[in-house]
Amino acid sequence: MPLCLLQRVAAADADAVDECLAKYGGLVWSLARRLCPRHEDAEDAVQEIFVEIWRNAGKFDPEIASEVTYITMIARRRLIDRYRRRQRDLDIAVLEESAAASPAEHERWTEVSEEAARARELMQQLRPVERQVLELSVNHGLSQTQIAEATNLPLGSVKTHARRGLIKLRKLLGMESAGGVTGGGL
Amino acid sequence: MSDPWQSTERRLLKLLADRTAFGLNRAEERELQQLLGVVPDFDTESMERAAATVQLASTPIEPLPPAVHARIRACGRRQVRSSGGG
Repeated sequence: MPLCLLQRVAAADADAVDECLAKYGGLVWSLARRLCPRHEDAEDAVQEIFVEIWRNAGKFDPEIASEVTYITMIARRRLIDRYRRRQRDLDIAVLEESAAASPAEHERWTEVSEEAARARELMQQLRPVERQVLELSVNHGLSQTQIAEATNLPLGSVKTHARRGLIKLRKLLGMESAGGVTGGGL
Repeated sequence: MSDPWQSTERRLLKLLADRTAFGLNRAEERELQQLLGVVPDFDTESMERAAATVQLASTPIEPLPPAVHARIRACGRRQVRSSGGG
């Protein structure tokens, strides 16, 4: 079976670096742009993320997650760390607009991978309020209080919706077997 | 009587979800680490993969600017060659 890109990076195949950047550069850049208000911050963040991706390429296990999920996970972890350190206020109005992107807008994206399409199908299985809370917290790094203010939900409900949404997604992804336990409700 | 395994699992899931969505305070982080001591093989990254799904579902893809691409490419090739990979 041929090696995937990250396995080739781990095997010191320099050409795989180029292919990896061509395939995932746009994704990582787009994730960074969401959480880095300044262009220069996004540039630095993307470089940091790719350095970490190359460094952790050997830990990638295709049995557990797809390559795109693994890369998104590393990117998110790094971006949230940077964001929480900075604790910069975001413009909630802009975030609400972004979080409410319509299916028609999604169709205009130039690179829509099968994985992203599958992710959208999974997200459709959540309740709208769970989707909204998760998009504000996961995509934009908003705190519980900021989400409560933006959505007029009680503070405790924000946490409950985020939990339920994530636990439901985890279960949908079939992760319960990886953890050796069932997904469980709240 | 409730099953202690079930209640540990439920609490772990809640803490992992909270950590992924909002971060944990010190007391919660300590509790999480204690519970993971009881269930050391629990897949702690599973919630992060769920969060990755949220991001993939709603991130419009823009191309990486060429100058940034070139910088990271040079850095990546250097890193991979010098480290011998992973």
